[in-house]
Amino acid sequence: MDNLFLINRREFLKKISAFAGSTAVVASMPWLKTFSNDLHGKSPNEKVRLGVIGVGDRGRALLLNLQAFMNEANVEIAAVCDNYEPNYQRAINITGGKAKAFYDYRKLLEMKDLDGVIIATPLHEHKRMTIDALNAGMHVFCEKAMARSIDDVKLMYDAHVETKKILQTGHQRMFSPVYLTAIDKIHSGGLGQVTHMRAFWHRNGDWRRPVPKGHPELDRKINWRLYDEYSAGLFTELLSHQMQVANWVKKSYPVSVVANGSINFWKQGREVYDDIACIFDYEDGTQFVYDSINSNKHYGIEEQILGSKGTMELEMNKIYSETPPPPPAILNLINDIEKGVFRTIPIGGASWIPETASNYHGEFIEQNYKMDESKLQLEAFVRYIREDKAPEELTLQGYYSSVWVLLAEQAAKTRERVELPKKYLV
Amino acid sequence: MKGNIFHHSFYSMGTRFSLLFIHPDESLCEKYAGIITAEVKRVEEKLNYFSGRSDITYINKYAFEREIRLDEEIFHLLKKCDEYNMITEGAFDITMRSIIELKKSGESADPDRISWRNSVYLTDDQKIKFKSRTVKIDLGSLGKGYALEKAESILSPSPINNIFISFGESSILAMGNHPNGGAWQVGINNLMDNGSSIYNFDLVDASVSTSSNYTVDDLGQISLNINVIDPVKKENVDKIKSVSVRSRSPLQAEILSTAFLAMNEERIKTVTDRFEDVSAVQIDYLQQKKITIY
Repeated sequence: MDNLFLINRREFLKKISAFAGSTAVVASMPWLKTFSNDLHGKSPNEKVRLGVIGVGDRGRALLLNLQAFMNEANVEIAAVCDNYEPNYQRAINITGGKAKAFYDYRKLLEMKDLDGVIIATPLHEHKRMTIDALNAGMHVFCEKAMARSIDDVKLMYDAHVETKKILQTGHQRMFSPVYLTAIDKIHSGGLGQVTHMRAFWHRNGDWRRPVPKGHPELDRKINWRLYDEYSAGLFTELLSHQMQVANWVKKSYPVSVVANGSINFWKQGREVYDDIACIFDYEDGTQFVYDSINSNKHYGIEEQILGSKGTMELEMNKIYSETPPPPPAILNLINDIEKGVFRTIPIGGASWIPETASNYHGEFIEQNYKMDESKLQLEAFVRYIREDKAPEELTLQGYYSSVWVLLAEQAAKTRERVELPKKYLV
Repeated sequence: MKGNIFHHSFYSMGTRFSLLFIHPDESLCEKYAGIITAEVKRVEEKLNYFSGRSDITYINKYAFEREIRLDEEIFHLLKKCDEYNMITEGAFDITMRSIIELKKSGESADPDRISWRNSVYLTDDQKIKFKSRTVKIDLGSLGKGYALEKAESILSPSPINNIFISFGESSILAMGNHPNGGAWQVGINNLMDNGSSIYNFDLVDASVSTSSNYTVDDLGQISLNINVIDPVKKENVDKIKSVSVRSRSPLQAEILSTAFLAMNEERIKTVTDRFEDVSAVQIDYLQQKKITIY
C-alpha cells in the first residue's frame, strides 16, 4: 500500500512549491517560502559546507539524509564530530573519510569555511554547542528539544537574535506533506472551530542502550535520556514534537499547563518518568490533552485534532467529517432536479451501513505523502543558508515547543499549574 | 443550497439522515432543517436501546422489578407495537432483542417463552411490567419510521411543500412532488447491481420502508445482519431477502416491512389486503431475485 503514496523529491518540491505560491499558506507557514523563492546570498553554484556534530542514532540518520541529496543540492559534508569512539568511527565510515573528523566540537568550529552545523548530541549539550556555533558565525540546525532548561533555551534564542544566524530546530513535521495539507485545511476552517486536541506517544521499552562490558562509567553518556541531569525524558524526547504540532494547529501558544508524571514500570535506576500526562490550556479555551508512556505500545502515536466540523488524526493521515457523506442517489437526485431530468432514483433498499468509529475509516488528508520529511527539513536548512536567513516563525516554533515541554516537566514535578514567566516571552 | 434545492444531512440512529427541500428561501430551509435535526435526535435519545439515558433503557432495567409508568409518547408507540403484533400474528415483536442477548450470553433461558404476548404486560393506565428478567424491548425496528412521522408532522404545515427525505436509505418519505414531474419515483436498489432499480414506487405524500437481513455501503459492499430474528422460529432469518412496504404512514411502513421479513407470502397478502394504502414488494435474492408484489 505504501507505494501508492510514494512521491520522489522532485514531485515533493513541485508540490511544496505550489503550496509556497499561496499567499495564505506562506502567511501561516512562512518557512515554506524558500521553496518558491529565488535564492539570494550564496549562489546555488557554490557549495554549502556543513559540519555534523553528534553521530549517534539520530545524527547518523541525519548524516545519511544529507548524503541522499548532497550532490543534487550542491552540499558538502565537510566535517563530522563525536567524542564517543564508536560514533566517531561511524562518522568516518559513513563519509568515506572525506569529511574532517573531530572529537572536540570546538575544533570543528574553528573551520572558518563551514556555513552551518547540524547538532544531534544529547540534549544537555545543545546549548553550549549551539551558542558557540552561532558565535563562530555558523548557521545551526539543532535537534529537538532545544535544551535541558528553559534558561538555556532562552540563551540559545538570544544568541540567534544577536548573531542574526539561523537557528532551526528538528521539527520535521513542519515539512511533511500530510501535516502541511492538514494544517492548511485546519487554518482554512476545514475542521470548523478547533476546540480540543489530544495526542499521545506510547512505546514499550526502557530506552536503555547496551553499555560496553567493563565500562560502567559510560552508562550515563550512552543512556543520557534516562537521567534527569541530561534529559527531561518523555517531555523533551517525544512531547516536544507534538507540542510543536499543537501550537502550529492553534497558531498560538498555551497559557498554562498542569501535568503529572511517575516511574511506575521501569524502576531500575531510571530518573525520568516513564508515564506522563499533561493538559495545556490555550487562550481561547482549547485544551490539549497529552500522555506518553514507556510500558505499552498498543496505541502508538497520534495527534487528534477535534473541530466542530470534523476530526483529524494526523499521524494516520486521516480526516473524519462530522456530517455524513450524502447518499450517491441523493446527489444524483439533486443533479436531476437541476438539469430538469425526471427519472427513478434507486435509493430505497437495505440500510446504509452506519459509519461509526468501528467501520468508518475516514478519508486521507493527503493522497501522496510518503516522503522523508527529516530529509526535507535539512534541504530547507540548506536553502535558508543560501538565503542567509530563515523565517523567524521557524525558530519560534522550536523555541516555544521546547519552552512549553519544560514547563510541563516543571508542572509534573511541582504538581502545580504552571504559566510562562514573562521573561521567556520573545 | 443549489438553486431551489436545499440539502442537509446528519448522523442519527447509527446511519445518516438526508433531506432535500425544494424551496427558494434558504434561511427558511435552514430553520426547518434545524428543527427536524433536533427532533430526530430527541427521538433517537428517547428510543435508544444502548443509551444509558433513554426511556427504553430505563424500562429494560426496572420493568421486571416493578411497574413502570409510561409517558404519552412511549405509551402511544407501545400501543402501536401491540396493535401490529396482533395484526401480524406475532411477526412484529419488539422483544426479539432478548433472543439476541440470550444467544450472546449463552444463558439457559428458553427463547420460546419470550415474546411480546407472553412476556409483557401493557396496561391501559399507561404502565408496563415484564414477566421475565430476560425480556428486553427494543424500538429500533420502528425508530426511523417514527422519526420520519414526527418530521412529517413538523413539515406538513410549513411553507415547504416538496420534500424528499432518506433515513439511511431504508426509510424514505416523499412529500409533494418532484419539481420536474409528478410523483417522486423511488427505486429499490438492486443488491446484485448496485445503483440500478429492481422495483419502483411512486410516492406523493407517502413513504417506503425496506427491511432486509443485510446492509450495504455506498460502493455496494454487502454485510449480512445476523441480528434479524424471526419472532416465530426464534432463529435468524436465513434468506437473503428484502421487503419494501409503501404506506401513507412512515411508521406503518417501517413496522410492516420489519414484520414481513419473517412472514410467508400468504400472511403478507392477508395483511396488505387489510390496508387500502399499503403495498409491498419482496425480493428473494437466493431465488434468482424472485420478486413478489403484494
